[in-house]
Parts: sequence; C-alpha cells; structure tokens
Amino acid sequence: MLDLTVCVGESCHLSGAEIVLKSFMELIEKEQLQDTVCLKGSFCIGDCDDQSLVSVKVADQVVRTRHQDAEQAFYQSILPVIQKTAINSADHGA
Amino acid sequence: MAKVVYGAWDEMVVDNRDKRFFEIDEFPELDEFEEFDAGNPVRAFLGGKGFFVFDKDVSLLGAVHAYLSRAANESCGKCTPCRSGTRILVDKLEALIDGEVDSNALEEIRELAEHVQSSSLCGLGQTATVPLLRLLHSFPDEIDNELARGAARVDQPGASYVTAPCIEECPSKVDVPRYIDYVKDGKFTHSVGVVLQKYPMAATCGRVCVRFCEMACRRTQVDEPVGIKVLKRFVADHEKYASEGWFTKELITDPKSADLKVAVIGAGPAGISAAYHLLLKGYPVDVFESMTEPGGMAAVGIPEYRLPKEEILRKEVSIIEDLGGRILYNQRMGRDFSLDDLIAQGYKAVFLGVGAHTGKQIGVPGEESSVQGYITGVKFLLFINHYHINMGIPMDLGEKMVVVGGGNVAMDCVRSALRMGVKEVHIVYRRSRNEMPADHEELEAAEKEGVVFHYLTHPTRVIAEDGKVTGIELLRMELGDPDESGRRRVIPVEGSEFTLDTDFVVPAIGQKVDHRFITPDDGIEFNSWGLIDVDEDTLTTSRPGVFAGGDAVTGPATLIEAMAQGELGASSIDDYLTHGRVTFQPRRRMQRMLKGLRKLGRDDVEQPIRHLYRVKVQELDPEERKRKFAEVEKPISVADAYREAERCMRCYRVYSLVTEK
Repeated sequence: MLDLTVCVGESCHLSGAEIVLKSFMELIEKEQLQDTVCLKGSFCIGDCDDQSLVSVKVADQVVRTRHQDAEQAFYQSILPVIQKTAINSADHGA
Repeated sequence: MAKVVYGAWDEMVVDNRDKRFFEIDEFPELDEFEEFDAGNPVRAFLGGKGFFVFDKDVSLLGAVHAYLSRAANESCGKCTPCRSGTRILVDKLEALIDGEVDSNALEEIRELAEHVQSSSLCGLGQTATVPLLRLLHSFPDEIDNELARGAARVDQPGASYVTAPCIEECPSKVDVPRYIDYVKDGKFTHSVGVVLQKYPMAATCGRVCVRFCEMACRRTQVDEPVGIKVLKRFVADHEKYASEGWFTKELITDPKSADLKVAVIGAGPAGISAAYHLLLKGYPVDVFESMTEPGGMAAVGIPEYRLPKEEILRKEVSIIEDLGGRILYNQRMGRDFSLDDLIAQGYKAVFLGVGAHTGKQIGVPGEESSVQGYITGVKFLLFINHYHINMGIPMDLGEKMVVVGGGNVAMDCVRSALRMGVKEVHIVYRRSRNEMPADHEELEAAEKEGVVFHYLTHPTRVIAEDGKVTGIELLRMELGDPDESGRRRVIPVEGSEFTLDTDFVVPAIGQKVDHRFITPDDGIEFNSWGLIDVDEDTLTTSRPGVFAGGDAVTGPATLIEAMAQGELGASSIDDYLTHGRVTFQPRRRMQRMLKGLRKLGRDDVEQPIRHLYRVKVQELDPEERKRKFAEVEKPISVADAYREAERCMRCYRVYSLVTEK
C-alpha cells in the first residue's frame, strides 16, 4: 500500500486542500486504485508557500497543485509515480 | 445623567421634590436613563421593584395604569388573581383618573393590589402591582395632588417591555419561560417554535450553549437553575422541524424584489442566523462558504461527541435552502472573490460573518508552524472534525500530546485527541483549577476520561529535532496577589524548568481574525484588537452597506452570541435596504437601561418554593466513550421534561417608560 498524503496544514487548508482531497478520492475510485493507494491527511509537511498551492506527498516526492488543477496534477505527476512504485513492488515480490 | 425627582426601588425611597434641580444627587446606575432615543427624555420608569420619576409633571397614576395594562395583557390567565385582578385594577384606575370615583376608592385598590401580589402564581402577577403599591405607600400625597390638579391622564407616550432575568441575559433574547410553559402544557411544537423565532439552530443550541440564561435563573436561590438547555434540546429533538418540511417559501409573507439581494459571507452561526432572518424578511440571500461543509466554528470547532454534525447541524443549516436561500461552498473571500466583486454582481448589502479561525501562539521559542507536531488548537479541531470525521481521511497523531490552555477549546482538543487514539494526553495551564475558564462539566469530563492536568505550569520552549516536535519545556508557577481584575497573579518559580516528551504541542489559548479575506481597497477597518470595527448597536462597518457580526466582531465568543449578532445584522440590513439608514433599536436601548438597574437591587425569591433538584442528564460511561466520537449526553425522557419544566418560576417582569414623545 502506498501513502498519498495531502497536506492540510494552515497554508494548504486555505489554498483548498479539502477540494484536492475530494478530487483525489474520486480519482482513486475511478482508476480503481483503492487497494494500491491509501489517501491520508497530514499536518504541515513543511513545503509551504503562499501561492495558493496545496502540497501533496507521494513516495517521498512532493507535488504542488492549485485546487482547481487537482485532476491534472493527479494524472501528470502522481499517477506515474503510483504506477512506477506499484510495478517496483510487484518486481520485488517476484 | 438623569436626576430622580422622586421614586421607590427595592428597599430604597428617594424624595428630592423639595430640592432644586442642581442639588439632586445622581445615581451612576441610572446613567442610561437620560433619554430614550435622541431628543426624547425619559420622564418616568416603572418596573417590578418600584418606579423612578425624572420629571415632576408626569402623571404617575397614568404611568401605573399603563404598566398594569401591559401586565394584564401579558397575563397567561392560568391563575385568577393575575388574570382578573390586574384587569379590575386597570378599570378602577381608569375610573379614578376619569373622576368617576374619588380617592376613597384608593383603599379598595390597595387591598386588591396586595392580594394580586401575594396570591399570583408566577413572577408576572407577583410584580404587576408593585409600582402601584409603592406609590400608594410612599407617595400618597402625589396621588391626591395629581387628582386635585386634574393632571392625571392615561395617554402619555412611552413604551413597555416584558422580560425575565433569563431572557435578559440571553444574547438572542429567547423567551425562555414561554418555551418552558409550552413544555408544561405538552405543546412541544409551540415550544420549539418560540426558539425558532430567534434562530434556526435550536437542537444545536440545546447541545452546546453556554447557558447565560441558567446563570441568571432565579431558581438558583431556591435549589438549582432550571435545566433550560436540556429542555431546549428535548423539544428540538422531539420535533423534526428541520427534516419534516416545516420551512417552506410559503412562510415568507413579504417577498422583496429580486434585485435586493444580500450576500452573507460565512455559513457559521452568525451567517446562518443572518441569512435566516433576511430570508424570512423576504430578501434573496446567497451565503458564501469557504469550506465544503456548513456550520463554521460549530462544524469544525465543536467535536462530534458534543454535536453530531450529520443528523443535527447540517439538517438545521438546510433550513436556509428550504427557505429559498443558496449556500455556495468552496468560496473563500479574498481567494475566490472580493468585496467589490460582490457589489459588482449586484448585491445590495453584505454581512461579514467570517469568524476568528486563526489560533494564537504562546510566544515562546520553537513555535514554528512548519515544525511537524506543532499546531494550534482551533486548527487541530478543524482537522479532526472536518478532514478526519467528516471527510473520512486517516491521520497519524502519534502517542503523546500536550495541549496548552484552560478554556473550552483546550478541553475539546484533549477529549478529541483521546478519541483519536492518542495514548497520553496532557493539559498545561498556568493558573490553578479554580481559575480555569472552561465549563465545569467539560473539565470534569476530561478528568474522568483520563487527561493528565498540569496546573500552575507554563511552557517556555517547544523542543524540536529534525523539523519534528519531540518535547516541551515547562516552568512551574505559583499564585501571588490578586491583580486589578481580581484574579491572582502567577509568578514563575525560578529554576523549576522540566521537560515533557511529546509528539504534539497544541496551543489553545485564543483565536484571532484572519485578515487575508480583505484588502485595503475594500474599505473595511479593523480595531486595535484586530477585529472588524463596527457600531455595536447596528453592526455597520466603515463601508456603507457592509455589516459584520459574530466572532470576527466580538472575538472568539459563543454560538448564541454569534446567532444574536446574525439576527441584529439582518435587522440592520433590512433597515438599510428599506430606509437607507439603520433606525433606532428600542429593545437594545432597553437592555442597556436594565443592565444598570440590576446594580440597584437584588431580585430575591420571596415566595416559599418547594425544593426540587434538576434532572440529571445521563452520559455514556467514560471508559466506553473515550475511544469513540458518539454523542456523550443522552436525551431526557418525556416525564423528566415535564418535571423539569415545572421547576420554572416564570420570573416575568414588566418594565415601562414614560417619554416625551
């Protein structure tokens, strides 16, 4: 199981972390990743900025996105990492 | 400052009739009695403990007649002395004033008035004849004088109010004895209706209100205050007003034209209450909410075990939509739109109910919001209540937590942390247990659930390693002499530093308003406390057409105060959109007059009352409840509700004024 952590700290909350979480919930369901990815919330992960961006952490990689662009960020930056990690762990298993 | 020419109040009799005006001593307690509205002096004042005359030419007989008429109209009719006695007295005074009977009738009037006072069943009848009796007893010559001069008249301008100590203390002025009366009669629908006249969140209030009313309850002098909050929850739970379609657009009797639309910022208690009253007044209302769920601090600040969100809060908020209002979610002012955008979109008035959602810091080294494990109390509650419980997002909270502070937010934090599975939860508070501002019930509940309390202890440093909290350095304090406010000072004990290991440090020592929703161009001013600057009687801000209320104006306060401000804001907006300016608010004026008056005499219980202690609310067992978020307090039975309602003494009081115009 891979953790997909959305920061819900002060700055990310104001930038719309809840919208990002909601879109990720839907996308995880749509892509049938429920058994691969665990969506989590976390207090400040320390990569704050004030440009209305929400920080998302997946496999030690931090991705920042505007809440409006959550879906785009998911397909462009997050899904590839998920797939790569999933393949790696499958390799290890074999 | 008003000068009393003559009067009688409580144990005091004042007679300055032979003095010249400048020789008269003034009562500082009556400094609000100079004039009612601008240019309209108060000539006489009558209440349940007597009367004051400020203008010797006033017809006091006429004023007493007006006072008794109001009491007679208010009489519930359940006991004969009050129902018939007050009516007969009104007729007799009228005959006296009209000259149909002479002063020989006064003896009969006095006897009847005494009878009404001693044998009426509730506070209304027991006080209805007090001004008359005080007049007859202390100033009989004034009556003769008035009758001899032919100066007695009934048609003097003025105003009268009926209130009770519990109503007067309630920020929303809910008619408490009336809704309790309806419980006594088994009319639960009517009972909750009395509350719904003031705000839509009756079941929420019945769970989390801080109960200013119960603190004022005169029953405390006999045994214990009436369980006002418990009864409110009982009727609100019993009647499904939020889910059974009580609220429809048909309730709106005077719909305004569609261009008179009003924007409400924030779907918290203040905003929802403002929207509710604006909708009922007929205005089209859009509520802009920054989060994805409604309720504001009630949703994100109050834990689920005290207020279930799904079945209570959200249903009550949905009343706004039932009345035709819109709630637009994920709309954060300052991020998604500005004040000018709203005006450009055609909103004619705006109510700002944005709350105070930013936690204050302790002010010690190591407090960095980027350090993992350091988070303010109000944000901690937001994450638990909103992200975890409402959205179902898992969160890791570690093993140990230290919460700093002694208020209700601190209690909510520690009790929530236990329920989230944190093994060791500590509270650090700089004073002793007696000084803790938290509700006593909350404090006891936290103790029972196993929170570790460190009194007379203050943090000096937050300790972090590799960007992660590992501990907190604390210092022992001792109590010193009382300061100006009467609270004992705390003095640090030199060299008493010690360290607690912890994964989380949560300061819960107050909140402030986040100013980022506004820009300097918006023309909204803040005061030195960082709160939105408003006129407290009208809630108008520095920008015409923009009103503000709730925590953003009062600082972190209570649900009931925020809802009261919402109602006041709605009434001001209605005034503004109808007349172009906010008109005089007589009820608020009266409230201030009565506040001063309370210092002049106590309202003792004089009639014998049988002791009957208040109903005990059953709770979930502490061991069972501390691992889950289920509601702790159980509902009371119908039988208990009847019994509790019987304890209300109906301390209604009439107050009336004679004014110039």
